[in-house]
Amino acid sequence: MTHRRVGADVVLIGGGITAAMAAARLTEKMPGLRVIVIEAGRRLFDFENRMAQRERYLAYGENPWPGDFIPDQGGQGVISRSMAVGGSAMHWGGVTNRFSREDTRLRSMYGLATDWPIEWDELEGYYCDAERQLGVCGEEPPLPEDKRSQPYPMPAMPLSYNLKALKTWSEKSGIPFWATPAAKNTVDGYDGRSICMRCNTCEVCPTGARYSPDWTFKRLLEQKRIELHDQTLVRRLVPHDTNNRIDRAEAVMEDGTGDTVTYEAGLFLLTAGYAWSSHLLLLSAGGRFPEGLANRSGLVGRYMTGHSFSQAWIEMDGQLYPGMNDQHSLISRQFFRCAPSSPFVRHDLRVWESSVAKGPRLKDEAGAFLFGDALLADWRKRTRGRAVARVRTYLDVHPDRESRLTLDSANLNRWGDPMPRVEHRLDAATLGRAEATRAHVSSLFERLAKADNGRVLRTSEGDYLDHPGGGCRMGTDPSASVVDSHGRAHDHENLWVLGSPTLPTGGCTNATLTFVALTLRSAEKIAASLQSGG
Amino acid sequence: MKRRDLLKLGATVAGLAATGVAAQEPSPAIALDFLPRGFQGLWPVAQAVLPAEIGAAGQKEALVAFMAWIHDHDAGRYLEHGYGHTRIAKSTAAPVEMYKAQLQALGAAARRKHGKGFGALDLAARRALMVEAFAALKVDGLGERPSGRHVAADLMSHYFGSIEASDLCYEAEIGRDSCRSLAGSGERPEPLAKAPKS
Repeated sequence: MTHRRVGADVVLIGGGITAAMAAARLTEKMPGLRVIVIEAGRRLFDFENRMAQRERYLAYGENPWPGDFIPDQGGQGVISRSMAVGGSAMHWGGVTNRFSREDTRLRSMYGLATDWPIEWDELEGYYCDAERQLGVCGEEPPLPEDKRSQPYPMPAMPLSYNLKALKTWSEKSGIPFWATPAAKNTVDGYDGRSICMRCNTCEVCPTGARYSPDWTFKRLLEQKRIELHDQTLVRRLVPHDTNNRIDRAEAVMEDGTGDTVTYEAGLFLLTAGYAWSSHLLLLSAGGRFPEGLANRSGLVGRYMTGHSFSQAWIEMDGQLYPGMNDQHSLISRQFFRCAPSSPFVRHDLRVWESSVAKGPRLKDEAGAFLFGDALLADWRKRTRGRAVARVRTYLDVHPDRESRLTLDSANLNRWGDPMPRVEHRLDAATLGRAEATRAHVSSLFERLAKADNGRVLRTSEGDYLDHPGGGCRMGTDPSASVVDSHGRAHDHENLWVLGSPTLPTGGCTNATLTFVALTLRSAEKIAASLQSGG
Repeated sequence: MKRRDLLKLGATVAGLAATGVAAQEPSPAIALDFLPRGFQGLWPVAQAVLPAEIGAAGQKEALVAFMAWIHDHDAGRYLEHGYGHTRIAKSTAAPVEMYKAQLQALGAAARRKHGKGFGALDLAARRALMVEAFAALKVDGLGERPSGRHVAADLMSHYFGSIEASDLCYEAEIGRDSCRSLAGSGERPEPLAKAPKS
């Protein structure tokens, strides 16, 4: 085993979408900066294999991202095993909804949770920026509250025949719906990538139409703007002996050699996502920081957030042809707003085509087996003139202080480090309105079902919080937050936490665009700080 | 399927021929040389579980696709690890031995009950034997893809889960899961061109 020492101006720890965005912006603003991105997993720069991997995924259920995880680097309650260059955004669906002004003012407007330390109008500008970086297609929302300062970079994904029919159906409820924005090319060649070919497998996009961070990393490497050290697991951040600056990061190679590396840098950016960022700060406890780094507030790993969800499958009159572009959906943002005088409930509302209850089956209602032509006839009968929509809400729920990521001493990796355990807990106000929220959602599903002889076939509630974030929440008060609005740790002037860990609350729609926008804002601040010598 | 598995498959099918399963009469219109090493015992199963509407040529096509699925099945590959409830699991070996045993069992049941081979039975009798086999294994549904529980059910899952079957059901050129242009996606899919039966 060998040991190396590596120096850099800036080290980013974690190589997902946050690192891709931060590294791109930082090196654009500060050419010549020595920037190293460290990622525990491997680089999966094999776009040429993606179509074949997709085929095996469809045929056999095989992992379409071979080698995208480290077997012993997993935790309890951690939502994705993905640990590779590009992170979870290698297999995301590309949905790029914005949060709304209400998300940043929950305390002021509703007396709930906390306010974000950022003004909506400033964030809105960074949303536009993020949409350009990711390549977002979308349609101008019809609600005045959703007014945008700049148009979407690309026209909306065209509604399939199915979604057109579902829009007609769902709008009979009086709720407006429109195309869900997505980081998918509707224009050939945007950012050098293909136009969408509606392959229905956005989780492994074989054409490159859906944005994934490998595109950004490959470009940054080609342009020699960054160094990418993959298969390198950072195990500890080490502070200076006498001041609060971070001196170095200690890492071990995950390439089978067990070689170790010490990284010394002027700035350390923690870009490891919602689970592994808090995890590393807690894992780095010792000496003058017995509770972990950046943790004077005791809030590292607390207020772990996300959104809960409910969904329904609704059958109605009409003819759909499932499979035309089944990952694209309709969205309504009508319920992003909630009058302060009304009972609090905020959520998005999405509608997809579905083949639930409309697939081929081996037995009929009477329990008789079906074969050959009889099976086909039964299938046809059930799909003629009646269609199914999947309807889902992401609900704005708020984390309790005890919603935590902790170190699990019963689950150690090969290096002897405890792995994370995430246990989400909702705050008392959220729990207190749970029944009313459930009743609201249920009545909403029924309201939608009323049109075209519809009926709710079944409903379900998620048993985890989706699009998780938090653990290093941002704020202005060092006793009530871990980082400032730009992600700079209150306790360490050269340590920044970027992306999803900084979200104080999880909103009521997909969060990626929001933390990408925040990351771009942070990167500009970091560049400005470097330019001014700080 | 690896070469050694194909050889094993061939050896077992030869064994099936000796017990009478592979000697059953298939459709005379179809040459069965597309089935590996006398694996013809699956043909009368296909005739019974696949729609007659697609004709013998369509049934053969479905069977060829299923055999290719078996052939390309690999053991020990990591499966998709999911989202929300992550799990790490590996694929198991292609269920070749089990399929062979199940075909053999169908042949044996046909002889025991009807005094002739499975392929010599009419479709209703073949299906009745498969119902018994499914019931014994508690097979009561079709999976998204073959699950390795019974060869006949797996053939059905493989075919009825296909793009072709979906298009046939809807009688429309949907092309689910095939990569297609965005152009025209807002229109009702074209009616399915009728393939001549053979």
